Amino acid sequence: MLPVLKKEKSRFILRLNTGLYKENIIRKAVAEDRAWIKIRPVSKGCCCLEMKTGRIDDVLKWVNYLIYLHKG
Amino acid sequence: MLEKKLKITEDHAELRIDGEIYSKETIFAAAYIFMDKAYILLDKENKDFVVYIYSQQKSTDLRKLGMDFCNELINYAHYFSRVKENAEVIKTIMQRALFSAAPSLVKEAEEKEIEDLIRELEAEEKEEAQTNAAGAKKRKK
Repeated sequence: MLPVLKKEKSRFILRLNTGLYKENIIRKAVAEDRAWIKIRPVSKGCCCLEMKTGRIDDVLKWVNYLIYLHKG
Repeated sequence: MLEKKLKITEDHAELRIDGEIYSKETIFAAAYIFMDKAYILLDKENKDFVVYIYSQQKSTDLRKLGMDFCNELINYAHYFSRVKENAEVIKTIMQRALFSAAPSLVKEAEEKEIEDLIRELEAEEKEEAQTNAAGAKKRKK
């Protein structure tokens, strides 16, 4: 299984389990930040995001925002 | 035993939670509370939930953060369990509170309840009549 958060040269690859995070909420959040986040081809049960940033803090703040959106 | 469930690395704590004990809603509720002091990333492996807890401040004790998250899980598991048990009572109290603000609603609700009861009785009588008719037919044969 892919790691949940993988650092590459100047980007991160984030794997989100769609059994936990709702796909429509992920898509909505990605649409708000499409300047630096892209959804990679989705595989069954998970959604991979390519995040163009070298700072892990940016990624983690965004992930917290996802939790906030799920709380509604 | 704890080491299997709570793993501390250089920059985060990794907590494994049994999915048969805690629900997804409980984990999200606990994660929401932690948003002001940590970054929370969730994953699932088979039946276990995996919670990655990154501190927002470098000086934070990650082990304590992990243990505090466990406490928050118990807190919310207990809360949701109580809400489920007391659902009917809460509903009654809310209805009474709403109705006291608008007494006409009480009359409407009572009338509706009476109509529903009458409909139920009529349906039962019809069913009984049909059963009796079928029984009488059988006896004639």
